[in-house]
Amino acid sequence: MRTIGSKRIRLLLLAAIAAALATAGAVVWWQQQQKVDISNVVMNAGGATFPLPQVIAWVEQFRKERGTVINYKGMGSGAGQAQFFDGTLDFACSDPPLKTSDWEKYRGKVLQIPWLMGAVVITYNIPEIGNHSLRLTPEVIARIYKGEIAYWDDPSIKSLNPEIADKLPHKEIIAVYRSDSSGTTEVFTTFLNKAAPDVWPKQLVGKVVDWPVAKLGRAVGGQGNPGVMQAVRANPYSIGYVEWNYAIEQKTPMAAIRNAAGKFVLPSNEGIAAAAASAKLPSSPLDNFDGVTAAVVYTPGENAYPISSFTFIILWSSYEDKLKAIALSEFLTWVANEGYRNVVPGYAAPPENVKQLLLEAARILKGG
Amino acid sequence: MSAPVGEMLSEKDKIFYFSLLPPALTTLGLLALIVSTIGAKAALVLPQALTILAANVWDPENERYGLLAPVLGTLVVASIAGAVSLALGLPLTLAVAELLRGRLGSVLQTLLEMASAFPTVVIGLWSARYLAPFLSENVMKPLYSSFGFIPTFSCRPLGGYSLLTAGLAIGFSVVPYTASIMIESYRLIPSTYREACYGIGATRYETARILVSLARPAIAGSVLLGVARAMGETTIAAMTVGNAMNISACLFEPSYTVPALIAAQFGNANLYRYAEPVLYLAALVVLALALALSAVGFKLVSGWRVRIVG
Repeated sequence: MRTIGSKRIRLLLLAAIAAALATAGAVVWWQQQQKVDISNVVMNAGGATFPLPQVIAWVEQFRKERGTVINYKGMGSGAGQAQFFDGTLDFACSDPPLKTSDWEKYRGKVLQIPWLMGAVVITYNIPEIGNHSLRLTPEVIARIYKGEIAYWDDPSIKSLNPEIADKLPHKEIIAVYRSDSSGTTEVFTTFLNKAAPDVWPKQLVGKVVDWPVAKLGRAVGGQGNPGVMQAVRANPYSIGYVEWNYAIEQKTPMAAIRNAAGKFVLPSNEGIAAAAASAKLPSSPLDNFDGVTAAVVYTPGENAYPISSFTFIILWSSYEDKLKAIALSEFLTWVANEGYRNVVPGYAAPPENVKQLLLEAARILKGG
Repeated sequence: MSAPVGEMLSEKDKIFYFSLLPPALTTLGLLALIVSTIGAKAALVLPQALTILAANVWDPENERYGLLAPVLGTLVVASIAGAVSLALGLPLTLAVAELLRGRLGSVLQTLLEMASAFPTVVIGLWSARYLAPFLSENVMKPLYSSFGFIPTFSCRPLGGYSLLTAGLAIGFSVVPYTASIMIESYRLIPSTYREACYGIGATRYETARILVSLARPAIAGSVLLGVARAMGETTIAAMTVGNAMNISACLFEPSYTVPALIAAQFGNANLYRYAEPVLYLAALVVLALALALSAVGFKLVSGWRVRIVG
């Protein structure tokens, strides 16, 4: 038989349990908000291979200092974006920002920051001149990849390089390009289109393009930076484009390229910083960054390296796992304050306004 | 005569027999699944299949596709590989099965079997780094300057990444496979034939000639099987063919093969609407060609074996 007493006890018991749960929840919440112990957080990230060495260096240093483990897998920008949106990755890195259509779809939920800079360099294999730095204009490069300039002793190349003009051989130029779909190709072709629009039309801009010179039998494609480098090495009289960091590692010759101010510049940290200084960027990580790739190539700065590029980190503005959001917020803050002090050769820290974007994203992640 | 399985087998045999069925069927089922998946994935572009196969362009950013260069390239490369596997495989067969029938022969055969397990990436690396420049300097250039009037040799070789290099390199990788089928077939020829040859006073060379002509269908069959295998070779092709959407009668020019195209483009194909279906269509084409060639090759070899053994 039930009595009034036992009913009351049950009620009391329920209330006690509810109170205990609420307290426990509050304590957990308070802990997460106040005491940021992020040493047990493990995150999966991946995407572009271009920033891989730098991301690995940062992630390793951050793990040593804070304990958070971030597993970054280089899989390409496209795969990174796809796996980020299907939930496999906690954050992604991508050379191009989100397309406007994708950004619209996730508007307000997704953060993008162009957190690292690099450059694409033009390399070549001309045994007669060895490591000598060639001077090239955007038009000449575009006409080589179009197949219009076929020989190294073409007057347009000779006149740019008078001191070695007699050494340039009458040999056919082999144009090397990336056979895989790549952000590097997008930066390179965006540059050609912006700097030499009469030679290089808009249709020839993208991660994969239908290379006119390939149809003439004077071009070969290589897989990734290593594939392009290998093809340039194996084929005397070839020309190719690779990431700057990769070219440094391989000690390959690099061309000085004429920038919008008319000056021939080699890739350098200062050159990249100068390129970024005159690039217009959105003011919030929640904004649309589509088109930023074009904004940073062939910029007017006097010392700007004309094929500079951004690479992006893409994250959610909030995470179900509060601890993850806090860890990411801490990571972004750490990169802005500490990470940029140790930049791997071949990369450049972005300008101050990007640092502010990182800190803004960190604030949004903390929910404040 | 074969009796129904159930009547001949004991209870234990039955259990054993039926326990084998699931794994056996799984393999077949998986193959069927692969084919149907590829077909389903390609379905989106199947109505335009002919247009796509006749065009030569790879421009996913503007959603323009054409597979002519890689399909032709695959055929050319696989044919060269087939020629290589015949040119190298037949002498190898005679050496192992006819000349060196003692210890040396069996050592050679063991080596051959080991060679068929050679990782293709190693052959690819070696070919890209050493074979390509070597061929360019020592084979393509002389051929071009002496026989440049023949369309296949009519272009000045550039680097060495070309249809010819890919064909030869893939040919080398296929030789152990074709040669081992040839050797096996050659050894199946009953000794009565050999004895008959010696009986009419034929020399060893003449005997070998007669036996080879006797084995011709099996040799042709094994070459076809080799060609089918060469069509699907990916790593070596991607490293040596030049990966260029280029159609040329000249073997010294860079071009593409379907597996190389898939390897290069599949990673980011999901960024575009039609890139993936078109790649599946390309896979379907190569699959159909390779299956057809395998079927013919297999039929030739096994038909001949039944006939020769009697």
